[in-house]
Amino acid sequence: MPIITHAKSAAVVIDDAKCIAEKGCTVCVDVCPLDILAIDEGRQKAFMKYDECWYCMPCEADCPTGAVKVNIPYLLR
Amino acid sequence: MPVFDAFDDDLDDLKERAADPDAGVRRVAMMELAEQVGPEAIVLLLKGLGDPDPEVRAAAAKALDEHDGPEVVEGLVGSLEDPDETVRLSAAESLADKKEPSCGPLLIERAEHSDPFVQAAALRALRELTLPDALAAALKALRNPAPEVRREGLGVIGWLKAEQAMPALIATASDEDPTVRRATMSALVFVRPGGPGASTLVAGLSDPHWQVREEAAVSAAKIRLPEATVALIGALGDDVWQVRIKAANALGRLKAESAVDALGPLLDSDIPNLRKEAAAALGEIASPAAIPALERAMDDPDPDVRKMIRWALGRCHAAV
Amino acid sequence: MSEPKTEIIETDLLVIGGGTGGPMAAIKAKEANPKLRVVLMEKANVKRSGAISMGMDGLNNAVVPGYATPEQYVKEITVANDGIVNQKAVMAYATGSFPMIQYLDKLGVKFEKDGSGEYNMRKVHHMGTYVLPMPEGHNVKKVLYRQLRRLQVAVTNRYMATRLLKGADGRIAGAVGVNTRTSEFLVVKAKAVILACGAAGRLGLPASGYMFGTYENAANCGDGYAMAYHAGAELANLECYQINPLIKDYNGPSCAYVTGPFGGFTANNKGDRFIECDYWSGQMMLEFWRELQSGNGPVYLKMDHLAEETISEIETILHTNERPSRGRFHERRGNDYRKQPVEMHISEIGFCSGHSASGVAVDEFARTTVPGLYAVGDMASVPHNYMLGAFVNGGIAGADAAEYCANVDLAAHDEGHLAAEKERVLAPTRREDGLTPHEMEFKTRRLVNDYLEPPKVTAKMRIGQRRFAEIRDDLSALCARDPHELLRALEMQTILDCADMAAAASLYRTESRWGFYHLRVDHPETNDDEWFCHTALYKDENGQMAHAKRAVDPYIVPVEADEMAAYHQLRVKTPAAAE
Ligand SMILES: Cc1cc2nc3c(=O)[nH]c(=O)nc-3n(C[C@H](O)[C@H](O)[C@H](O)COP(=O)(O)OP(=O)(O)OC[C@H]3O[C@@H](n4cnc5c(N)ncnc54)[C@H](O)[C@@H]3O)c2cc1C
Ligand code: SF4
Ligand code: SF4
Repeated sequence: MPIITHAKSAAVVIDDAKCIAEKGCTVCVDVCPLDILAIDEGRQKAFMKYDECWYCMPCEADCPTGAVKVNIPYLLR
Repeated sequence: MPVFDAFDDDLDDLKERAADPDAGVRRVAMMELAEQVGPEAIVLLLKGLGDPDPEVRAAAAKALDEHDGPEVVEGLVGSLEDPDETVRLSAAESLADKKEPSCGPLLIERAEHSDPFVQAAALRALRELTLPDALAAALKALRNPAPEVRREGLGVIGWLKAEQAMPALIATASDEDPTVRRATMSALVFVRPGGPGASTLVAGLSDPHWQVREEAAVSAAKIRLPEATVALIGALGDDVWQVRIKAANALGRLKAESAVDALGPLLDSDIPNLRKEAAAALGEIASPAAIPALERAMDDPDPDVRKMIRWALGRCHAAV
Repeated sequence: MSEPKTEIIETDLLVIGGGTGGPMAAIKAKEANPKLRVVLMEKANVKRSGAISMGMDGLNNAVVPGYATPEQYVKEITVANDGIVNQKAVMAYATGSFPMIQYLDKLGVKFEKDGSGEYNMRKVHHMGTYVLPMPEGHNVKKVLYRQLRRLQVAVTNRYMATRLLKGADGRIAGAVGVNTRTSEFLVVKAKAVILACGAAGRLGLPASGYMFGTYENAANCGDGYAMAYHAGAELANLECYQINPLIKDYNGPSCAYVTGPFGGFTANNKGDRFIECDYWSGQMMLEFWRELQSGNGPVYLKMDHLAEETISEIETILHTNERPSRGRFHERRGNDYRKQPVEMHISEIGFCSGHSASGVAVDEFARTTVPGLYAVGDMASVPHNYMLGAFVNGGIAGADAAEYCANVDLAAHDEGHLAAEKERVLAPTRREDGLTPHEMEFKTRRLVNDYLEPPKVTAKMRIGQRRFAEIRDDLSALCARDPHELLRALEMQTILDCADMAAAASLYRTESRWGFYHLRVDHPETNDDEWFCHTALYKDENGQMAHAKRAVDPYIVPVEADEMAAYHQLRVKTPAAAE
């Protein structure tokens, strides 16, 4: 069967203005236990890549600039 | 990706980034230095504490939480006076985790600093060290205008279980700030029955603020202070049910037979937790005199209360 | 994807899982023998992995002198588990409990202390005092990580262990790991392996339908159970599921242990307390479930009767440690502890000894039935272990394994086995299209809910088994297009293994026991004559799932029959609800 993609809302939001990934920071990506965050190669900013969040919040707590906001995923909000 | 990505001791790249003209890069370098081991990382971080950019300094102060040694403590103590508030807070937080007895003298000195923030942070770090030498500074702190300094001073004294501080504790028991009075009641937990300070704890049971009364009851329960019995029985009629609960608990722990008559009526209270605590206390006391009251309450609507009543009845019957 | 590289390394001790018990095992092994080579393999990042990634609200089972004795604790755990326990293992925990608290304290973990610096134990019920709050417990992982760093334990983050390797003589020989970002293989040859992979938390599907909205850290999908099973180790009492009373939809702990000492409690829709059981156990879950069935639901966590000062204190604890997003969840719903009680619900099923009594069978040294293989924490069979149990048993395993390693050489693993495992792992990457890991996992877990949840019905569980077999056939179409999808594809296969184990174990024990955890409609009574035993589930010589009864070892702390009965008599007598 061919595989199709399907759109999801990203509950974890990164404020690009605050994110300093371009300076070499990868803290949120490093700490996420589900490995769902990544740095966008082009923009050099962190983003939520997969909708597989445990809303545990190390990404937000450890981000040095307060750029991450973890929202509760819509399905359980 | 290297297999072992943690605990590298290759610092060359980091050294370079720690000296980068871009403050953002320096900041990230400080963050990564938290992961490194060895004296060289500490040197770079201590240097970072003097960076012109406050965010770099804050990152360095935070990273030093991961490193030990007197020079780390000295650096952090220095940063308690940083002009930037975030840096000061990070330094204080990292400092509180250190258990470095050799830094006692430095912390004791800072406990008498002019800035209450520095004082409170130094006292907090001193508390865990339980150094007898810190007592004088802690006693002085009790007269400080800032309530947070007075509270931290009480913490140091309580942990030292310093009986010689009793006159000062008796004084803070009538401090104008209720949080300081509450901290006093909590510090008094090292009082011995019959010893000095016991009457202060008893007096705390009639403090105007309910949390002070509650804390006094908790401390009295812990040390099973017989001289508090009468006041605790009085506290069973306190306006605030939280205080009544803690008083009931204390009387149970004291196995105060004289409280049986006063505890009985609490089994009719509207508050299930209070009924439960009263039943538990009657069970602890285990006096046959409590049997009629407990039996009357056996059909309590709350299952947890009923269970406690059955348990208490078992103990009272066994005492017959 | 091009063929990923394989790196082979050699060590003395391999610890798999860097959450709670794993780091402590590595630390204590290193402390026992600083020369020992120790590798800690973690699927996520040790800094923030596992159940305690954001810290913990408190110890639920601290055995502190002056408050409870080890004997008292062993007795209570025995009774709470309907007698089916290995008391020696529980005793090993109980005696190790206080020294571990002191050790953690020394390392910098913050426990609540009173005004004079003594531990501030809280009494939750009359039987014993076991709760030690940690209002500042957010730094646990930091402290562990610091100690790993001090001792120079080699850490490999982002490697998921997939299978254990064994020597020809049946001894453990190491494990295979796959990098979750590159799909590269790391083969670790080791004299001993300690499994600390946590619970099987992605077994049932949360009612919200959100696959990662689990109670357990969602990285804990049951890999440890599957690896132990495929290595031939015995697993005990898997039919004793984990089911938790949780905040509805949020699926996080309702935290009666935190709110209880402050006066909060679980209430029905009339605002009345209905739970009589003191202990988080199957019995308590039965009471909970019956209340939901009886029309007295929903069930709430009630705090609106507490004083403002008390509520803000509770909020500070609950919204900063452990599951800090709880505050955010409540906020969106307009829930305010002051104004209305919080709706609770019953969770989907999982495996976890942290809160029940199942897991990879271990003795008092944390040894499994495979020589050189240990298991600790939520995946090992020591009941009601919680966080402190993971630490204590981790420490026991680490010390014992260090000694074991000193006396054996490295076993040579079977190359054919390794090649086969690599092929199994990579199979989903060899397909261009097919079924996604996500949909196959969703379907497996949905069927777990439909057919395995208690009350357990024989006919339903059989249907479940047939449907799982169909999914197993579909694995030939499972497709992973990148390393992240491969991670999920491997996890999905673990989940399917666990589903099969849950069904088979539940069908084997033809009685009801442990309250709601093993409530069998076709066998409603507890049958001590035939089933006062552990059940063992294992893979036999033919690769089939097999079962056996294992006797309960003679008690070292006697429990009188009337003590056992007395506990049960304390229960509310509610008429059994319609199934
Ligand atoms: C929300 C919540 C609240 C809790 N509250 C309390 C409490 O208040 N008090 C208390 O005492 N206990 C509490 N517990 C229980 C306690 O946290 C656990 O019992 C304990 O932490 C389990 O430790 P562990 O080492 O077994 O598992 P974890 O700490 O979960 O560690 C398992 C680790 O294994 C890793 N892993 C999994 N699979 C693989 C693989 N294939 N390869 C490599 N690594 C892998 C995971 O990433 C994880 O890091 C709570 C648990 C939860 C989830
Ligand atoms: S931790 Fe914060 S600053 Fe760093 S990459 Fe993530 S979002 Fe950006
Ligand atoms: S909340 Fe947890 S799972 Fe979600 S992105 Fe952040 S770290 Fe990852």
